[in-house]
Amino acid sequence: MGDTKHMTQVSAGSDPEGIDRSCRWPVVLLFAGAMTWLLLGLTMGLFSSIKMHAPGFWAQCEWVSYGRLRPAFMDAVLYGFIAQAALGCSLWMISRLSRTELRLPGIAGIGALVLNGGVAFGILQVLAGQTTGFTWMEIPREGASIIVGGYALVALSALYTLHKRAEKQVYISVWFLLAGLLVFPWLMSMGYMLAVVDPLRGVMQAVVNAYFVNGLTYLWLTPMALGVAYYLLPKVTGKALRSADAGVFSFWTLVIFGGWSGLSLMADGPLPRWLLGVGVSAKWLLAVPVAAYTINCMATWFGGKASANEGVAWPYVLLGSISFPAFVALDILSTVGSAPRTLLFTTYSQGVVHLAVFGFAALLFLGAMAHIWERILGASFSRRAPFVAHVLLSLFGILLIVGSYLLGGVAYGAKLADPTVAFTAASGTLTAFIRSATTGYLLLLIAQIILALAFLRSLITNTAKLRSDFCDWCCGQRSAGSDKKVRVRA
Amino acid sequence: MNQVPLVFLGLFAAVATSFYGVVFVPHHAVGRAEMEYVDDVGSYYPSPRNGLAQQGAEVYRAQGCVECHTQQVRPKSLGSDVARGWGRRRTIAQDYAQESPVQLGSLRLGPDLTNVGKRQPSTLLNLRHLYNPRLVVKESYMPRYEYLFSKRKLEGSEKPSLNALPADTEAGFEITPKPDALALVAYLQSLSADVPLFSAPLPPVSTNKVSAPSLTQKP
Repeated sequence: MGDTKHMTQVSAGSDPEGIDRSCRWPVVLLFAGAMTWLLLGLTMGLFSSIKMHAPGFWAQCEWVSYGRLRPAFMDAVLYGFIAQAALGCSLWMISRLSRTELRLPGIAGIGALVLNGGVAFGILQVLAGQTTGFTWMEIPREGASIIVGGYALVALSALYTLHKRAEKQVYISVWFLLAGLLVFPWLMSMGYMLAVVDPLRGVMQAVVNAYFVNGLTYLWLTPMALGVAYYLLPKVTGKALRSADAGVFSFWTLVIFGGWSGLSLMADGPLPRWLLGVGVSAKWLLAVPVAAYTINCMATWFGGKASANEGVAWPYVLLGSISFPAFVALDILSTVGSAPRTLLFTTYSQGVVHLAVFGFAALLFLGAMAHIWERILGASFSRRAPFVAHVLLSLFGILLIVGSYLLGGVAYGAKLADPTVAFTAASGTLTAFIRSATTGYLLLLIAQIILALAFLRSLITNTAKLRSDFCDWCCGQRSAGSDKKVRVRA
Repeated sequence: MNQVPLVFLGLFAAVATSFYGVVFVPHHAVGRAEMEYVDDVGSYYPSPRNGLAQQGAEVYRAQGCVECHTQQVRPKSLGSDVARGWGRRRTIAQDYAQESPVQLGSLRLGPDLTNVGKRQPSTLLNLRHLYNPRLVVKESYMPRYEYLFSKRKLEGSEKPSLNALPADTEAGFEITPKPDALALVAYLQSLSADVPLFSAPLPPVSTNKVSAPSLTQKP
C-alpha cells in the first residue's frame, strides 16, 4: 500500500520532525496498547499475589484461580507490554537513527492491532484453562501465532526502514534492536513447534522450554532494553557514548553466551550433569557483556563534558542501568557452588525475573516511551510531578517485590533444605514475604496508573494533530495542515 | 561498510550454534528415551496412563498446578528431596518418556508431586484436599478447588448421595465431585517414579544387606 506516497517523501524526510510525524500513528497505537496491557497485567499480578497468601480470595471463580491468573499476568506483561513497548521504541529509534521516515507505517499499524488482538485472545485462552503448561509459553498456539504475526508485521516496517536508511553509520542501538526484532519470531516459532505443535519426547519439552525462557530473557528482552539504553544514554547525559567498540563487544558476547546459558534454568534437573554444566558456565560468562555495558555506561555518565541534555528519561536510564548488572549478578549467584541446593525451586528466581522484567526492561522502556511521546506528539509534558511520583513509586514497588521474593526465597530455601523442618512450617515462612510483595505490586500498579494518566492527558490535548495525521495516513495524502485534507479514495 | 548483513549473519550463527548445543545435543543424549522392560519389577516402565488419569493430566495442566508444584526429585546429595520422602531416587529423563506436556515445574510453593500417588493413595483424602486443602493440611495455602465440585443444600433430613464427600466436609451441604475432580485425583494417584532403573537405582534398604530392592519394600 502507498508505495508511491513514500517514494515522494524520501528526499524530504530527513528532518527530525518529519520523521517523528511519520512514526506518530503506529507508535501511539503500540504505546497505548503497551500501557493498557501493563495496567491489566499488573492488576492480574496483584490479584495473584493476594491469592498466594489468602487462598480463599475469589476461590469460587475458575477463571481467576491462581494457576491461571499467574501465567496470564506474566504473559500480559511480556507479550502485551514489553513486546509493544519494544516495537514502538524500535520503530521510532530506527527511523531517527537511519535519518529517514518510517516506511510501511500502515503495515506497522495493522501489526499493532493484530498483536493486541492476539494477546487479548491468548490471555483469555489461558484464563479459560487452555494453557499449554510451559513457562512463558502458556498462551496456546492460536493466540501465539496471532502474536507472532502481528509482531512480524511491525518488525517488517522497522526492517524496511532500516533497509532504506539515509545514514550509513549503524549505531549500536540498532544492532541490539535488530537482534530483538529478529530473535522473537524465531524463538516463538521454535518453542511452539518443538514443545506444543509437534512436541519432542519427554524431558526434551522442558529443555525447549528452558531454552525459550532463557532466550526470551537474554536474546530478546535484554537486547531490546539495551538498545533503548544505548540510545537514551547519550541523550540524558548530553555526552557521546564513551566507547562504541565496547558496545559492539557487549553485543557479540551477549548473543553468544545468552543463547548457550539456556540449560542453566534446569539446574539439578533430570538431565546429564555435563549438559547442565555447559549452561551454567555460559551463564557465568554473561558477566562479560554486563561488565562491558556497565563500565561503558559509567564512563559515559561520569566522564567527559556535558552539552545540552534532554530531561525526562534520565532517572529511568539510571535505574535500568543499575538493575541490569544486579539481575544478571543475582541470576549467576543462584548457580554458584551449593547455592542451587537452597535457592532452587524457591521464590528467588521470581525475584530475579521481576528485577529483569520490571526493574531493568520496563523502566527503560517507560523512560523511552516518555522521551518518544514528547517528540511524536510535538509537545513536552507540561508537568514533571507525575514522572517524579511514577519513578519513586515504581522504585519502591520493585524493591518490595524483588526484595521479598529474594529474601523470602533464601529464608524458605534454608528451611526446605533441612529435612527435619516440616514442609508446611518451611513454606509458612514465605507468607510474610508474599504479603510485602503484594504491597509492592500495589505500589507498582498505582505508579503505572499515574504514568498512564500523564500519557492520556498529553494525548487528549494533542488529538487535533493525531486526527489530521490519521486522515493523511488513511487516505494517502499528506497535507500541510489539518484544515486542508484531500480525500482521494473513491 | 554496511554492517547490517554482518549483524544478521553473526546473530544467525550465534543463535544456530546455541540451538545446536542446547536443544539438538540433549535431544541426541536423552530425547529418545523409551519404555523399557524392567526385570526387577517384571513390567514395562514408564507405562502409559489409563484413560481417566490421562484426562486428569489435562486438568492438571489447565488448572496451572505446575505454577506451585514440581515433578522432579533431585539426587540425594543435592537438596532434601529424598530425605523429605518425595522420592526414593532421583528422577531421570526416562521417567518422563510418556509425559506430554512435561510438567517439571520450577517453583515449590507446594510439595513435589513426583511420587504423590505412592504417598497419598486415598481417593477420598485427595478429593477432600482438593475441595478445601485446609480440611487435610491445616496450614495449607493451596487454593480451594470448589469449582471442581457441585454443591447443593440438603433439605431437612435429606442424606447426601453415596458419591458425595462425607457429611462433615461442610455441614448441611451435599458436595459431589465433578468428572474433572475425579480425573485429577486419578492422575495424582498415577504419579510415581519409584521403579529402579539402571542409571537411577533405588538405594539399598538395609546397610548391611546387599539385595535388589523391590517395590514391595516401603521406604
